[in-house]
Amino acid sequence: MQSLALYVGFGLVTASILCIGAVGFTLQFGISNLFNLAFGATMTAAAFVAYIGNAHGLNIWVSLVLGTLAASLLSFLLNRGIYLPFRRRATSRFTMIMVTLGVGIILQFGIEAIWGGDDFSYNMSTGSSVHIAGMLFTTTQLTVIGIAVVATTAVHVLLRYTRLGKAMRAVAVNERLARNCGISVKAVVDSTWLLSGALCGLAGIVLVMDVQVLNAGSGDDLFVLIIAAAVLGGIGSASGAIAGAVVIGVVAEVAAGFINPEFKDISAFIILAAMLLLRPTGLFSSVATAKEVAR
Amino acid sequence: MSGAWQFYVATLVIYGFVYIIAASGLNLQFGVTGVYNFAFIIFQAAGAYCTAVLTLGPSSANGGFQHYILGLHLPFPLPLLVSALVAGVLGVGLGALTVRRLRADYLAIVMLVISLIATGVVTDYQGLFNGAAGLALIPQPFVSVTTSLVVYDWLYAAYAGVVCLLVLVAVRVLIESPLGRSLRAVRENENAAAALGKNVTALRLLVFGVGGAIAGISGSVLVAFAQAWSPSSWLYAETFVLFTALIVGGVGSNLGPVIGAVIVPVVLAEGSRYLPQFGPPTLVPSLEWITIGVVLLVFLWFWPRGILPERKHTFLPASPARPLTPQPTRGLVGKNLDGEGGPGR
Amino acid sequence: MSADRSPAGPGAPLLAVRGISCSFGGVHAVADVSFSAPAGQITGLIGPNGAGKSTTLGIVAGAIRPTAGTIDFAGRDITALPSYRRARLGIIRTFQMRGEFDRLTVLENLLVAAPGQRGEKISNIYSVRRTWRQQQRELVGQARELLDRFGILDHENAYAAELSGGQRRLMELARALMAKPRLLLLDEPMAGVSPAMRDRLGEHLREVADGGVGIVLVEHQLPFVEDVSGHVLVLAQGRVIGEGKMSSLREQAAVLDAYLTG
Repeated sequence: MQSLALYVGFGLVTASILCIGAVGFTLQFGISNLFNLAFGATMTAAAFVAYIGNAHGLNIWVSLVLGTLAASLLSFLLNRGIYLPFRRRATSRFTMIMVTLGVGIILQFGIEAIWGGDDFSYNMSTGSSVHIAGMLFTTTQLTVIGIAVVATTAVHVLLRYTRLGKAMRAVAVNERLARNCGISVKAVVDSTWLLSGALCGLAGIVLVMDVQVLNAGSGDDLFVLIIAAAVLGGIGSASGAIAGAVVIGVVAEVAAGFINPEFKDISAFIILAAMLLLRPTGLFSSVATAKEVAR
Repeated sequence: MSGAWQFYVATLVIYGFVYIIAASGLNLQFGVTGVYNFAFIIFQAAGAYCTAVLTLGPSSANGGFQHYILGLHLPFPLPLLVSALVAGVLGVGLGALTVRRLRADYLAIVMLVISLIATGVVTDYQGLFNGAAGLALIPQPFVSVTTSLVVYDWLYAAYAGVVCLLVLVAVRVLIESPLGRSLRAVRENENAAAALGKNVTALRLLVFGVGGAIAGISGSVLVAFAQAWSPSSWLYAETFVLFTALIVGGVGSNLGPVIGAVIVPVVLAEGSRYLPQFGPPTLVPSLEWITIGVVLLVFLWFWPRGILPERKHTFLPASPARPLTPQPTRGLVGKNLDGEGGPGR
Repeated sequence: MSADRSPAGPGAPLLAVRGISCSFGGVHAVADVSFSAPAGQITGLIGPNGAGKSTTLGIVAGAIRPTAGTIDFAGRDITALPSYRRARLGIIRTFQMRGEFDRLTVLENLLVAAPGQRGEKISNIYSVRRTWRQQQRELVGQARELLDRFGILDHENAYAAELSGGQRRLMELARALMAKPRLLLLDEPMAGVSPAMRDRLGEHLREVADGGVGIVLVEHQLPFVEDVSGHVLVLAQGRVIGEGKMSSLREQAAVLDAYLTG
């Protein structure tokens, strides 16, 4: 059973990274009724911004803040500059997916055009190894888990107890009603994209901190697992995203450990596909049901 | 033209035909029937793998360094036909998902994930189709006809062209028929279509099957020329390229896929091979992808229906000899609503 | 209300609805509704907004599944049949909103409705003997006659999305007739139609019924309902609260109450 604990430990690290990303992704769906397929590329962009800072001598944690802010700004601009104009034209849902996909491709290959297909890494130490209850972590990984806990708690508090958070939830469930209640939908939407963009960037950077490798495809590798976590938990629900991230993260790592390292992704996909067929609205399904994701 | 040049042009022509075939199949699903099959490329892959394992012969031959299922030596054109059938059946299987009634973009995500699962499974299970390395040394058909490589390439281009033409004609006949009209009705308003007696599920399964078979045909034609096929040949981004080709060329029309297939995959993607390489080796391919992305967004904004969109279907006007004021017919009144015509008037 | 209120007559009524109920999220849209619609007659279905009239039509058409009750059509239990099968039996409905095929032309909208088209079978499309073309020519002729009768022949090649609201109702009605119905379920077919056209259509509907078709008509315009229907049902809050000729219904207190309080 020792190896089970080990893989669960790995799973917690993966789950932490997924958590941050899944909450960001699900918030974007909730607020804009949109699956942002450029999310993965945005993660990569943030990771590269952090790399630039880091390569120029900045401490890795400062670079992390830099990258997070960059992703926040980028996501906000993408929504204002591209997604909103299309949505205002009553573009069909499927066409919106194509739009986000196009944006993602431009971003990803823009990065590859600049940095090529090489691998990079951050200038940082992974810290020493720590054993806890049969699980093995580096101090960096523990910090990542810590960041995830702090970030998701902060988001949770925001959504639950602040006026902005409640407004976000209101807009996600019924935009027209929210507007009629006097909520400034535009400000809420902007805030949500800034917030979710920050989470997106944060996820991308801690991912690279964990795997120690950065390239143009970094974000995309994890992106599908993020989608899986968000959908499993119930798209549009932040709590669901957290739950989904834990399930996917732990299951993926345990499957990778016990069956086959390649199985990491496939096991997550199979869970996702099964979930979509049996209970498409996910575990916490209120927003997904409100948006009629499945009939 | 030098031999190398001819080879290049012939290859481009063959790829062009292959893309046109694939785009036509996707057009039937996406353009005509409104089915967003984001897993389209796996049907091309199915056709390619099928043709490969039906022509490679047993895996133990050639030193046994490739592992794959089956391994027959079927003569031309059997591999093509079997590939179409297998891909078609797979298509119907995937189509069964649409019964679940998910929102269009949600369904697209499901299909995307299935595409990735397929890639993952083929990559990880070496025994299926030789995993990530893929299959190579796939024999070309009718090689005995000529010893000249150049002549063979043009011969193959002619073969690809004939297949392409047959597919285009078959698809056109389907689209222009009442069945095609029912498919378009399903696209426009599936509830109204059902209320008028159309079996929406059966119609969708039909286009999944036919579209899948067409994708399989494109894969078969491609692989027998390229002689190699691996998971990197059918990443999910290829589906994106085909969708872009349709959006640019024209959604739902007969010639739209042709134009789109020529512009997007051929000109934008392959054509740049002709450009002198500058910068690091990944720069030009990256710029190709960026161009495709930008072209897609530009078209979605300005010309979402594409260059040659589906045209209006009209019918020949009534001839003067047959007046429109109706004769009395059973159950319907002989008068028009202004009270003119009809019996006794 | 007693269970069987169908008028005594030889054989089963064309449509017999018994005890259907349906609820959405805890609200009973339709509760224990029973009625019959004979062939050759127009049965009106009226009531205030939200009374469940459209839902009732939807249940009969097969678009909405009831939680209880049965539906018999020409003596056969069709409760379990999906909507497209019911349509093939001849039960044709119109939609209150958004029933058109937007990017098909008006003429094509009608052609879609025609039953039994040879050109819808793959074997016929690709066969050498193109018999489906001859049939399509005839159908085009029939469709044009209908469009002419409804006064929208000039728009035969317009996309349905380009029509005005009233023109769409006309197209939908023409389309429903093109489907050779045995039972017509009309959901507010006169909305947005001019009074003159409405009167002519009323006459037309009576003639269609005379040809043996049964019609269930949901309408808000009560004089029109009185004009064309024989038997009328009143629905309120999902229940049948009155039934009979319009003249007698006007006297019934329950009916007046329902309309006043909505």
